[in-house]
Amino acid sequence: MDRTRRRLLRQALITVTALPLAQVVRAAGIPRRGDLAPLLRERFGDRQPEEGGIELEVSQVVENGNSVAVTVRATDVDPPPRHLYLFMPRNPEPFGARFTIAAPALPEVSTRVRLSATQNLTALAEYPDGRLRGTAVSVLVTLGACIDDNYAEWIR
Amino acid sequence: MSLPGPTKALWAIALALLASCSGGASPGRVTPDRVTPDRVAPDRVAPVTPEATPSPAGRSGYSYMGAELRALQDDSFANPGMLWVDRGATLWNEAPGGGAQRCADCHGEPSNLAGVAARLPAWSAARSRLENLEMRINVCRTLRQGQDAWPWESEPLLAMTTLVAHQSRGTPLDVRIDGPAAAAFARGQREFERERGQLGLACSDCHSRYAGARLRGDLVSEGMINGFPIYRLTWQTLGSRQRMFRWCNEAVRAEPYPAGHETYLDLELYLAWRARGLPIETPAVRR
Amino acid sequence: MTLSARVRIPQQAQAGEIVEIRTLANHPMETGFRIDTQGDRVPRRLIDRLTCSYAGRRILDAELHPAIAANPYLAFRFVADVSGEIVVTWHEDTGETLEERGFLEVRPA
Repeated sequence: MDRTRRRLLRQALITVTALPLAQVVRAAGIPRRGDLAPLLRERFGDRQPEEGGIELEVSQVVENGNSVAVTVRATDVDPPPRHLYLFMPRNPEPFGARFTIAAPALPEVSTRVRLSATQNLTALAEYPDGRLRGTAVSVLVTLGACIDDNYAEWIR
Repeated sequence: MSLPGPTKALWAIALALLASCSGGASPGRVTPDRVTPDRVAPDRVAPVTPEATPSPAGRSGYSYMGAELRALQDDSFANPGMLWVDRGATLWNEAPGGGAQRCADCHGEPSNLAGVAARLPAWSAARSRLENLEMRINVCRTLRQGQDAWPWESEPLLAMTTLVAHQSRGTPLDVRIDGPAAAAFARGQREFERERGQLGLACSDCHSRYAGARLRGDLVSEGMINGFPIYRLTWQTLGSRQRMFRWCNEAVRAEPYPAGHETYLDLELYLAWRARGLPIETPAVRR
Repeated sequence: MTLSARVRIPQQAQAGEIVEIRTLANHPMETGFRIDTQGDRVPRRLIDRLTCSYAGRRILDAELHPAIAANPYLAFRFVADVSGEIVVTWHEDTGETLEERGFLEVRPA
């Protein structure tokens, strides 16, 4: 009786450890944190972004992830892109913004974003013919001295 | 166990880091016997006389920030604290209701209050109490305008405080600590040196002794209060000196006082004196 | 809370000149992820869209998500070609909107 239980337990343990974690995650349909692929597939299908043609201005080390200055600018502008995108792969919601831009506006936007962790901030440009171009910058988000778990003290 | 002061403070900081990494314990779960009794080490409080202390006293928190955040503070359009200056200006010109006068009716332009914020907190002889800028605004509101006082840290009080303090931008802090304010000042200084909470840290442990050192990614500043109300990125909003005191106390795991508590007013006076000579930066941007 | 914002709209330019519009809205951009001291989730509330038209043309349409910082800041540039009205509109996910207008006068180059 005891022996049977032990064997069962051992078998269960081996089964669980033998199943690679990645497979479990994939089977459950959970995207790996920091992986943009599922989101990009959903939005752009099989279209793959080509590296370059777009600039991302952002500090590589930021003091607080709650407000990070970002400028995204297309340099491949003949014709200009119709949309610029910002993605934060490790944020709870990785899709940050989509800017639809028409002449005479320039394909360039500055904003301030939240980065929940150190990650590769990613920008894409989408052209009228469906072509994609993109770039990514690794941004290190430093952690402050004291954790702010009492932020709501003043909320009324 | 008897450790020399700095070593003890280092241990406390290390403990604080460990505690914050583990997600933090709620104060409610602490058993009383684990709480260090608050005390002030007798050698810490040296008597202060105005003439014995040079001016200006220290470096603004501005100089402890990186270039990007300094640029944000200096950008008179994009500095988010300016949203509260705007809102304060709207309130300034708005009739409060009941036929009461507007701020503008008595004071004219907000710029007529330039310099006021630099002299507060100050002793009020009329009301026999120490008053900071928020209290002065509420005195006007209740006595002159016949309105209810704005609650501490409410949006209109923050907006009006920011508007008025902004008029003193560039003016060095210069509070009076003699005469009737002397007792409050002495209590405030004692409060600054009082070891408190589960970590047994005094304000001065971090902001005097270890200013300039790193706590994780943060550069510990000198705790100068010349930029308040500040737009604080951690809060993602604007907050007062009183809110900062509460926040700091909770961060070192000490029970905070309610905003506007006499102890915090005393502390505010001491800190305003400690930052004497530093120009007001309201609304400053801080981490 | 009613929406409020500051905006800088250029008033004069030469034809062909590149000018900038800067916007800063007063808004918490509440993500819906935060927990308050009572353990309750703070409900999501966002400015989820900002649009700008210039002389009757929609030149920018920004779709914003929780990764945009509180008190959202947005700046963009365009080539001044004709005199015309500039309208910047913020849309909150509650349906509330805020509009700021300005007029850009363009002188021939």
